[in-house]
Amino acid sequence: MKEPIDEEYVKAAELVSKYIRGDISAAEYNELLDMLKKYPTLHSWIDNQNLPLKDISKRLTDYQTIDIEKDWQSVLKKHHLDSERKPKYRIWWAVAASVIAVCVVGGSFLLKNKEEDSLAEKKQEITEIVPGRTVATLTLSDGTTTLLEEQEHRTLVDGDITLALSGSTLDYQIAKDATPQQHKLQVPLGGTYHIRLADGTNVWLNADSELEFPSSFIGDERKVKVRGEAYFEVARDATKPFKVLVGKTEVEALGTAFNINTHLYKEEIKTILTEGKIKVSTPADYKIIEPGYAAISGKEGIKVGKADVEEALAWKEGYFYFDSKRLKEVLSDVARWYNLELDVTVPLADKRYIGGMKKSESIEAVCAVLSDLTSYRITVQGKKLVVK
Amino acid sequence: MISVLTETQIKILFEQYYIPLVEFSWHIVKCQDVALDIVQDTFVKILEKKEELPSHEKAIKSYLYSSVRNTALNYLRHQKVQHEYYRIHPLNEIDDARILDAMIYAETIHNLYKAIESLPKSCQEVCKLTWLEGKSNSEAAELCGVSINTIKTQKKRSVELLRHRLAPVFSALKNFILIFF
Repeated sequence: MKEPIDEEYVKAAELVSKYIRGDISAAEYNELLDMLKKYPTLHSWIDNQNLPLKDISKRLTDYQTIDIEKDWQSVLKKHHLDSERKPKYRIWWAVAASVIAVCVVGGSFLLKNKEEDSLAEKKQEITEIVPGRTVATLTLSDGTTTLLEEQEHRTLVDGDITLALSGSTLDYQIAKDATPQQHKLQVPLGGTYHIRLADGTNVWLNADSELEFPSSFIGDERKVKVRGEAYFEVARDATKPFKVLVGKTEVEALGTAFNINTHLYKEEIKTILTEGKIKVSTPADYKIIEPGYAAISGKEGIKVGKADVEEALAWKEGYFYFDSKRLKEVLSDVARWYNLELDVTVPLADKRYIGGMKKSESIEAVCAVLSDLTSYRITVQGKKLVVK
Repeated sequence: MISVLTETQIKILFEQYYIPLVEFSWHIVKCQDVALDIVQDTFVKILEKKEELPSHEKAIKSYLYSSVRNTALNYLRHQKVQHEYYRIHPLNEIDDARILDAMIYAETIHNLYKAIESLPKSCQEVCKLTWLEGKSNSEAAELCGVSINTIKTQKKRSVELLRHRLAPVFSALKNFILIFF
């Protein structure tokens, strides 16, 4: 009997309970009569109301001694014992105004027309609009490029570096003693990739991003360059500060975890710190950031404010998340992930939105929900995300 | 609407539904300690799974009842020691009708519990002693360290309050209370 309990059952139980408590309305009583026809076993409750009072009394007394808060703490304790150390971030599917009664389990919004359109496309291009996947291009020291995709198993060689590629991560720790070479990892629109640098630092790259890095770190600092959006979990090494160059901004870390995003409005660079401490500097200014805070570096200098850590981690955990993001930014994020062109034909209000959704959802589902949330008409046409 | 819940939201569900779910689970496993564990384990699973929960009340309730039922049934299946009860009532007899009964008890107990909790503390104590534990007015007076008149007044207040909040009081209990007056 593993099927879920029907909501009707719950309704039936509620009605019967109301009846025996003597707290039932005329309308509800009629509903109850209908239920009796469906579930004849309920008759025994209605006809004869001999409740085992002594038992109920005893249990009620027990329930009154329960400390709900204390038991919740037990639940949390058991949960933390079971789960891994990896932090889990949950996104709240929030609504600005109305309730969106959309239940999307992959594919119920298939637009037949769209499929026909894309069939006419060239075979080399990806014909469906799919959510992003693990894919990247690695450029070696001699300029040769190689495509990295999920579930690949092969070896990459550059000078005396031998890298084993397996699954969806590129791990450089094996190359830490070889002669260092400068490599570049590019993630296209609609892609994402995870790389582990020679010192053990983990970097996740979001769609349309690039990381330039040495295959191993020599000297007294570890330096990499990034464009786009990346999440860093820096390995501890007190002797060698880890520095990330983003345009004219430099982020210095000492064993921390943070997210850098350059896909922002007005070409600002946003760094959100989740653990540890970092120093964010531009040619003109610098600021030290504490966890839970973000630095936005742009033409006006560096502004520090409280950060939404969910925002930093959402994309890495597989969610789109926006809290107070302008619609333009949200649409850009979506377009980048699904590898679409953004076509906005109306002026966008400056209203801000809160919401979240899984990145693995179909584009149709995303459009449906965004349309409901924002009351614009957002659709996919060919390779464009159209906003009316 | 489907949503992925935060820990805080799950805690709110816990606070709201813990008591009825424990009662529900009790009807399947017939042991208070186990019933508590089962509901707690169910919430641990909810925390872990990052599941998408519906946000419509009836849908949440049926989801929670289903989860607890499944956890309880799994527990029973893995029981090494055969509980006396299950030698007489084997697992396959836990059918839909019994689940329905268990939910009815759960709903009822929950309402009763909320009604009592809503009473002022002094009334709660008197209620517990007199009509739940069956103590006489004089016994209750002694236990609470007050006069019999105080007990009578508190009881009167309780009946009035319950009449109002659990209005009308469910029939069996109504009889119970009237006996004391």
